[in-house]
Amino acid sequence: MMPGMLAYIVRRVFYAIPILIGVNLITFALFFVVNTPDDMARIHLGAKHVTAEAIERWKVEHGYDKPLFFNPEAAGLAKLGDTLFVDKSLKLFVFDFGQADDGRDIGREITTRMWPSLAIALPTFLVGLLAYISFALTMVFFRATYLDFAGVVLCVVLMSISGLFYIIGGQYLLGKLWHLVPVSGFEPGLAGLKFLLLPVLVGVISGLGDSSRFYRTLFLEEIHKDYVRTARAKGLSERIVLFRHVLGNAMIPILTGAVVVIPRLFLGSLIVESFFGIPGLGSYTIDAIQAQDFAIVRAMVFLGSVLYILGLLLTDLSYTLVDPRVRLE
Amino acid sequence: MTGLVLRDLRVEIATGGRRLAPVDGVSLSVAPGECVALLGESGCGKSLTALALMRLLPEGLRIADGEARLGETDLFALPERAMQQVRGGRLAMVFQEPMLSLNPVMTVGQQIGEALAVHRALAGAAAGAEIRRLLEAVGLSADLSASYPFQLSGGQRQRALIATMLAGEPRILIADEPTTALDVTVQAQILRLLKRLQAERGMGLLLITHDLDVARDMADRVAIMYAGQIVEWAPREALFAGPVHPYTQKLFSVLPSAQRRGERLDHIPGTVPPLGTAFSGCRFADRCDQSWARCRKEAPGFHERAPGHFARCHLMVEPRPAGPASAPAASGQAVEAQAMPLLRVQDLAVHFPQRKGLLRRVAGWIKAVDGVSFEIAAGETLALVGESGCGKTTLARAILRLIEPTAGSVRLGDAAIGELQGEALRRKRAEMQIVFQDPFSSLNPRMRVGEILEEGMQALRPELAKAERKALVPVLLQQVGLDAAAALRYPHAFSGGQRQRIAIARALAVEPRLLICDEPTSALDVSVQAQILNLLQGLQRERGLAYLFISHNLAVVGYLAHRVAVMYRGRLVETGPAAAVMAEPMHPYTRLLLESAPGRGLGVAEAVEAGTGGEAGCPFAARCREVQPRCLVAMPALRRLNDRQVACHLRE
Repeated sequence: MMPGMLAYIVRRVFYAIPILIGVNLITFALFFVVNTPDDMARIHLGAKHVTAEAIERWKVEHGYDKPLFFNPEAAGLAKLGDTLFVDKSLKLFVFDFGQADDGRDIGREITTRMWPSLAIALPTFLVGLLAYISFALTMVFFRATYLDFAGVVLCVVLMSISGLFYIIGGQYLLGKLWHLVPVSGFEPGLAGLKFLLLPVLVGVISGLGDSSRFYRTLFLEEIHKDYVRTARAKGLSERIVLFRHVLGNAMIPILTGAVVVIPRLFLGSLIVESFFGIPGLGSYTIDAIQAQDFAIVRAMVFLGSVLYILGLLLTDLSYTLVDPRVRLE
Repeated sequence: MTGLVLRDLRVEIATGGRRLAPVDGVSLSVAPGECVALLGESGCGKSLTALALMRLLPEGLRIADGEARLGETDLFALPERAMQQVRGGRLAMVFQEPMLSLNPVMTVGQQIGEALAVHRALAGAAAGAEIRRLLEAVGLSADLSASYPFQLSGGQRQRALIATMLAGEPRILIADEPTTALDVTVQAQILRLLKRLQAERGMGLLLITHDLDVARDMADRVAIMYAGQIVEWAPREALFAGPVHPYTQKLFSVLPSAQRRGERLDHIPGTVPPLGTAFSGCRFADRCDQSWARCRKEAPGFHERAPGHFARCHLMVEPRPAGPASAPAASGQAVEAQAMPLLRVQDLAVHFPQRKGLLRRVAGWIKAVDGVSFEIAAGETLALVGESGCGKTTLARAILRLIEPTAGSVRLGDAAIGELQGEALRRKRAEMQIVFQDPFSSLNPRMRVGEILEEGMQALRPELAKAERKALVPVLLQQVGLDAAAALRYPHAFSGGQRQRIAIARALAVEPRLLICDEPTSALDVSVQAQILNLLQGLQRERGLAYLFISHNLAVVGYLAHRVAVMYRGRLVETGPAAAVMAEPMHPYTRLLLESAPGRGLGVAEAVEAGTGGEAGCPFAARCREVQPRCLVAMPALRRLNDRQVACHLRE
């Protein structure tokens, strides 16, 4: 790695700090100022048992009994330190997520639940990328023919159908009617492979229309450039022109566009995981939302931002790998 | 005979149920070792003819008729797979835009290697050795094999592209405007290279160009194309001694040159007929000042005037019947500049910081403009010439304060432009306007022409009421030779020359005293260029405008400018009256520019391609043929010699 690139990474990491502080402040405001601890307690206790004492007791039990930013009762620096902001928000920076309402450690939950999420999301991402590029390239190879037209129509049809349809349709057809794979469930290790097939397939198909159509546009834009004409003038076959020249250049926007989501693969998909009963971070988040467990939701929002910033950094670095013109300094 | 013979090529495009023919019955031949120039203005079908020969026509266009033979091979009858063997093999093609014609993510060596693999089945070390040999054959260092195109200059890329196309050892090389996008000095090098390769390899060269001077230097025979047909076909000597087709004659008479100073340039009335025009007679008849009734009724045959010299014109077989003669081009008065300077630029510098490292500290400066001084009087034209990247455009922008100068002063009349702020600067901007190079991107496509003209007035002449602005629009349009109805249309409805007229009208709308023209005709055809140059001269006569005319075309400069300033790497190296500088250049760089201009036979010594000079010495030393030891250590200052200035140790 060149020293220029190292300096670039260090600088970008520094740039990330103010962004994360901003994210942290905004989430804190949303979770504690808009929706005060009193409100949280009322939601949890339900309409019947709400008394001032019950609210106070709930807040003490769950650690929400401190002031937001300034604690006049504490001594010295603890006036600032012994507050909800430090307790609940600043600790996110060291990935100390605290406890969920059921008393379990959120950090530990995340580290165990991210693997099932990854087991679904990573194959979906890789198989999807390959499928979308191949499909788009096939359409481009047959460009301006009925095959190409049919491909575009198929893409629009696939895009127009809700993702839920693919999940339910897949479960019905492959699970219930043909008994090829289990309808839902999860098991760690190789034995769990049969549980992964359907969610991955559904994930790939639901993205097919959108991505293939976009990649086809990228390829077509590239195919009319002068250097492609030069490649043809050299006497290269259409196959080599497409694979070596067009694909080589179109991969720059495709790859760099895909890299940004890689870190977020850990978080899984909210819908797929809850429909297929995968014990990953996606279903964890959905469950937390349903259970009004703000500590978990807050942790996931913050984690999502960190991973997104990481994804943007990786995107910029990936340019240097696929495009010789880009040098980061 | 292993040459190329094309007969009756017709290229069709199907649009809206009609089949139009941008190439309609073109025949030509190229013998081995011969250079044929196919010459014409944009849109005449010359590039499509070349692409048809390669069978690389864009989608939607097809070869409808004709026959092409390369030796014994019938090119149009070959199956695609066999055609791939011919393409880049026996028949190769070099394209116009070297910046775009190489794959940006493959090294030069890889791109040449591809062609070697296909046509000569070379791989590995044998291919590597051949790549190096080819790079050296086109005058490049063999080390560039591992470079990516973005690391090369325009000239180097064009050489690399030529090397790629030589890989298949072609018998015929088609070069489509191979030097149009390059500086004159680089153009001369590339043309010399093509000429040398052609002679060494006994290769036929089909050179497509719009430039008569390039054809004069390169061609053995010349084909002039107009509206999809070849109108004249002649040996070079015969054509340049006396063109016989009226269109060819016009192409010669619209060319500006130093000898034509003060004359009004001839022009071709009207525009190239749009694709799809139904012709009943001669295609040029409507624009021809020698046409008569027969020309509009009957298409002329391709008549042989002298052995090997053909022209598609009735005049070849029948004299023009007596009738009203066309009006001769009016000769204008030479403009005499006034003595009082209008613009005074003193030690102007624009330095851009180069930042490095973790904290983005300034590590160095790019001196785009480095201490430039000159004056322009009212009614005077100062031409600023130099190769691309020398700082011409940056200088123009700094004068207008479109970018902030680092140092120096600019005075327009009695106002110091550098010290003006806010409203005062805006008011002063009305006195200096700019016309940009590319009329296709410098006008907002979503605004009507009238709105474009009014917008400038609204911003810079707030004293005008809305009705007054509206009333001025037709006046302005008429001044630049456009119909008043143009105000209601959008820019895309106009041709390049018309758009440049709109751009000039926009600048004139605020009544400037100084007009900066940044390569205003370099994107235009020669016949359109003549119209714009005539317009600029007329406006100068009427309004006493001062021009700062940025150009790389020395023929235009010699024709138009009163004085010339030659710029190299951000500094002026020579200034003086145009006639004197063009006739007797004092700086070696000026001499190199003049000798590189096409039309002089390419006979000058090989110039070194731009290198980097030492920090201390003369920046031109690395390329100079007369370099002395002190040139490497001391920077020459710009010294005055009578009415000229030159920065060269040889003149001290």
